[in-house]
Amino acid sequence: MSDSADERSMLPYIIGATVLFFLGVFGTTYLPFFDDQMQAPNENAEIRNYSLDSAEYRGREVYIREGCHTCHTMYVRPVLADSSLGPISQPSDYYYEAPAMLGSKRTGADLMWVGNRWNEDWHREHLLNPQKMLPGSIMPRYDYLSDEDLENLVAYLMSLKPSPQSEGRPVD
Amino acid sequence: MSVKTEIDPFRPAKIYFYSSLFWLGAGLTYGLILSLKFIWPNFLAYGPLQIILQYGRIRPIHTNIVLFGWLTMANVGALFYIIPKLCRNRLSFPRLAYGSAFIWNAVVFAGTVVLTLGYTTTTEYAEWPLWIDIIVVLMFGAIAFICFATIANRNEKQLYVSLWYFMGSLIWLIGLYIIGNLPYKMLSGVPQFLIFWFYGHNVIGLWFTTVGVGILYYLLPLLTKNPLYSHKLSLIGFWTIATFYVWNGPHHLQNGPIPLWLMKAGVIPSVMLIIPVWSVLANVFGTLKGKWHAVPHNVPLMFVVVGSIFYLITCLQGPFHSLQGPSSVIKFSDWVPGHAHLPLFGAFSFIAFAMMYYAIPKIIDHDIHSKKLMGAHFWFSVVGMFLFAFSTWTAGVLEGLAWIEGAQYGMQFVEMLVGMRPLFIIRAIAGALMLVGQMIFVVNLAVTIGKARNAQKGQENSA
Amino acid sequence: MSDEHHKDKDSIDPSEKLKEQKESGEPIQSTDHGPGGIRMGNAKIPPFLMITYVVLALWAFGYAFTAVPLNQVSEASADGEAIFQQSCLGCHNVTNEPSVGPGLEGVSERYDNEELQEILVNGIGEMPSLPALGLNTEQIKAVKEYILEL
Repeated sequence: MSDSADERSMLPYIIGATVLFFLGVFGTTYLPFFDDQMQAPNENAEIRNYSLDSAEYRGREVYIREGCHTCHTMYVRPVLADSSLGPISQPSDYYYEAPAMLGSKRTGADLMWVGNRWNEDWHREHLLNPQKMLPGSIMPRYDYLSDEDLENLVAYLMSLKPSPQSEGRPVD
Repeated sequence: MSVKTEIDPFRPAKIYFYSSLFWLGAGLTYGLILSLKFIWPNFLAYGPLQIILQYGRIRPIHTNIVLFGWLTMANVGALFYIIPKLCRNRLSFPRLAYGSAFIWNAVVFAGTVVLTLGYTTTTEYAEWPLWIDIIVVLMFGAIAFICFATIANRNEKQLYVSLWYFMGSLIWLIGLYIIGNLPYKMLSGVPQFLIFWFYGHNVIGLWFTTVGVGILYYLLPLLTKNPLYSHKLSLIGFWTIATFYVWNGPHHLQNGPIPLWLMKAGVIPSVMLIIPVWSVLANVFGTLKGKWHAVPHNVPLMFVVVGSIFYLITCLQGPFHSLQGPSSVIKFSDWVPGHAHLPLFGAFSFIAFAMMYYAIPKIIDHDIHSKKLMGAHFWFSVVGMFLFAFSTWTAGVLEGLAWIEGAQYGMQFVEMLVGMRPLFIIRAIAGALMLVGQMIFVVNLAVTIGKARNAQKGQENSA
Repeated sequence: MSDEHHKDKDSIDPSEKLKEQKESGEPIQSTDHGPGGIRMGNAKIPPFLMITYVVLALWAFGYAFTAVPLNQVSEASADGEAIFQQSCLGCHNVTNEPSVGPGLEGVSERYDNEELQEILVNGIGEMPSLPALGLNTEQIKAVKEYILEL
């Protein structure tokens, strides 16, 4: 074969595969850090920048431990399907979010601004027995959480509110 | 016949294949439990099981076991079998290769335990914590070292297509695993989420897909006894997938909080993936030319052909829903798990099944115990995959439309979920069929292996 | 050697190879001595694939220059009835039958426009304010118009 001489050395493959890979790494994982929109936090981000000893921070750890992010997104798009979920997500909303939990699957509702939707009592009752508050819901019960974990988790969920500006207020 | 007198050169491949079978069963069992929890949210929620089998904890366990326990081990077994065959030599460092299988099993087991306890990094398909990731990278390094050393010592001058794919995959896997598993508290925000999906998408595209296509290129000419259709198409397929695939991460944030340039940088390569996929598929169907009549009588070939078709479907979907409009309807819905199962189960697991049906009889020198059971395995898997795809895609579109109608939270969301229940039931039935099929597969292979052992013992006794 | 033994199974029947050559009319390049007993064919790229490559390249350029972000926010005109069902129906009936809160049939006779606006924006008694439920100005206006019709 005329061009098979090229296929007798491993080097073209090793070098080619590596170079092409790092081009993509550079473009899609490194450059975004330097985009203007990613550079500064906004007020929503400040609300979510929990101090390490706060109930909200510990509640977020419970949220992660129980895998809430596997069913709930925190990601509101400028599309019809997200029209009643509240303000559209901005890159700067997530400035301090580590790990970022925008999510990939909405088996349950989006939680980006869930703190606006219900109050503490509702959340507590709902976590203990989702079917009581929303008959037909397929969310599991979290009645095995310790009281402390439960209260922290409720505090975290209640903190997920937009700052007044991003909510579109003041209302005239 | 003095075949078995020396140490079996395919012992490492064998141990990887056998281990993967265990994880296949375990991973699909977790999957079935998950699908049942869609119907009965409190399914098995008794005593400690409520926590151990809590949905949010076992979903990553399911994905990690099927990805790294089953398919990665099956792939490594295939590498350890195919590479020496194509290089006309023996696997380098067979002891290291053999030992690595035990460490790898321990890693998957430890990962499962850790996730059950609720320690997770939240990165999809990379939920294992940092200390496990370090071992994983060392293991991948060892596996790559063994493979590259074997290829470097080859007795066959020309590098066959499969070897291009294998070399690329091994480099890419190590690179993307390290980048995707950077300590998750070190970075933050949307750029971090972009890294998560850089990893999540590329671990499928630059490891499972590329190894799977490499195996496909090996099996197809041997099973059809035809020459590989076109050398040119192979070249185009390899270099375009290497160019475009790695750029796909940003389309997971379509319509999301990312700048326009990044959206374009993600969507265009996603659509360009049609080039490698159609080139590979044209090569597959070209190679099959004149041999279609043989397909129904050859279960491994059936798996390869149907797996290729599933690969085609999955890669017709991918570019389509990376676009803004389709993404705005089906993103976040049950369409997505349907799409994700298609390449991983429908395409590359099928190719791994074909690989084992082809390689294990040669390694242990004994034909597969039952052709009927092979056929049953095929039909259970195909029907299961079809039902799964049908139920999730239908549910996904209906969910997307319900969200557009405003069923986005509260009681309206739940009413929408209640409406999906029949589809969730079909999905669970599909999961059960898949699991039964794999049980048949495992039993059939176990009986085959047992028979081969007995035959070998008989030979030794008579000698 | 096991390798030799397996190769026999893998290797291709020569008559089959000849038949294939006759059928396709294309020269088969490699022989049985190809890597791992696999022969490599030399078929040209099918025309439909060439067309696909060109079309995709053209599309890529078009998309790179013309794509704009999707924005359906303005299209999502606030539907008062839908918002009511989502956010209010839990406590208020559309008839005059009280639930958690009073029934809203004929509410326009009890409150005038401004009083109603005041209640919706600030809440009253147990009832939360609508902004606190995540509704924006336009959505609140739509809800108000809807319940004034009841």
